[in-house]
Amino acid sequence: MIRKIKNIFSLGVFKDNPVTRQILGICSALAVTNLLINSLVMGIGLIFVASFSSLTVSIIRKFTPKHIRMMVQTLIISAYVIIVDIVLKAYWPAMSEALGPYVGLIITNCIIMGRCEVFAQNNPPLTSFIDGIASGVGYSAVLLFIAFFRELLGFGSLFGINILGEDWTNWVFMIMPPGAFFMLGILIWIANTYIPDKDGNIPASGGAK
Amino acid sequence: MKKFTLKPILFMVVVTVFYTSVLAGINAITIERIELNEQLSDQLSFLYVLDKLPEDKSAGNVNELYETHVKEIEIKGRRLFEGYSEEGELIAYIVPISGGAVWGELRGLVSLSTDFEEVLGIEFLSHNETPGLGARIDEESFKEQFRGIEIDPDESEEFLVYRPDPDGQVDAISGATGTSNAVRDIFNNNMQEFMSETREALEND
Repeated sequence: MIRKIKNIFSLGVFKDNPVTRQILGICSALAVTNLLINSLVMGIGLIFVASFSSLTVSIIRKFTPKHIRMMVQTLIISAYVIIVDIVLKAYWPAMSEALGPYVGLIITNCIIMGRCEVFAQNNPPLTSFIDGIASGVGYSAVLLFIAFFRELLGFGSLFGINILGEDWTNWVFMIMPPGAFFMLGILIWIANTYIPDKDGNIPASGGAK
Repeated sequence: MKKFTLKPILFMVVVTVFYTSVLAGINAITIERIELNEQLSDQLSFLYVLDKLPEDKSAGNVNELYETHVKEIEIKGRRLFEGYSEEGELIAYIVPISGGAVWGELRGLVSLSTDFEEVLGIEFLSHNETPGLGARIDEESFKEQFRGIEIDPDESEEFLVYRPDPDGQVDAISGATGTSNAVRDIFNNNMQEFMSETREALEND
């Protein structure tokens, strides 16, 4: 079991990372990564939604009529997203404001639907739950990596604490969406060069022969 | 043709009813808290434009200060607020402003001195501007510039002008020209409306 969990995590976070390998969830990865704290909360929200959606889909997978499963999954995902939204509004209104519409947009985050459809539909509840967490962690790791550089270069700070001092000229480009685009591109490049995929190949080592 | 069965429909209904009740339950538990949060943040905004922001931001204290300093009135069908000092003297009118900015509607508050010649403060209640760019209108350094700027109540259009215009009162945000201009236009439009329609009624009051 431990080995299985380890394997799920190594797939979710590195070898089959939802953002860098499956290129899913790009929209929010570009949108909320200009501050580390936003990315962190978004990541936690996604871990919660992904894990519980996968768990629920897996529990009812044997009763769900096959041809309406997508509809059921969407409904389940939206329910959990609304829970996150309400809880943030009630207990952390400032964060709710900062994340704005992106919490609601977790519903359309392909990572969650992808995990429900590919994994939870065919695996037992506990494994699916862990898989949801692993994918969420993989997503959060990417977000935090991008946000680290964007906040540092764009605001000169980390988690709102000034690091680079007064002399640092904010690199405004990094705060804007194109900044995220380039950071993400660089990250995918690094990932494809150094991290092997699930078959043990280095994706970027191919190319012309 | 495939045989029609009720099972999928029933299944969907059951799942929907289940999750709707769960959400309704959570909503019922938290609704009071959410409303209190919203009320608190509104009240803080009013105190901010009057420059009466307390150190202690607990709900009870803020509510008490709000009761002392702010009173809602209605003039010619427009909602307006009066600002009072600690001694109960009328010191300001707080005018709600709104209009379209770059990404959507922007709402805010402007407090004016009782002779309408000075802006005491500005606050933005809601907007959808770009984080890090347009959303920087929420930063103190931008909003604080509005404190004490003089405007001409008999002006017809340009109440607020950005520097480097020789008559400029406020610096726009560099990198967010669109939002800055939108704020200026919303400010000017709302002030024009206020000065031409509501001011007289207040003066004759």
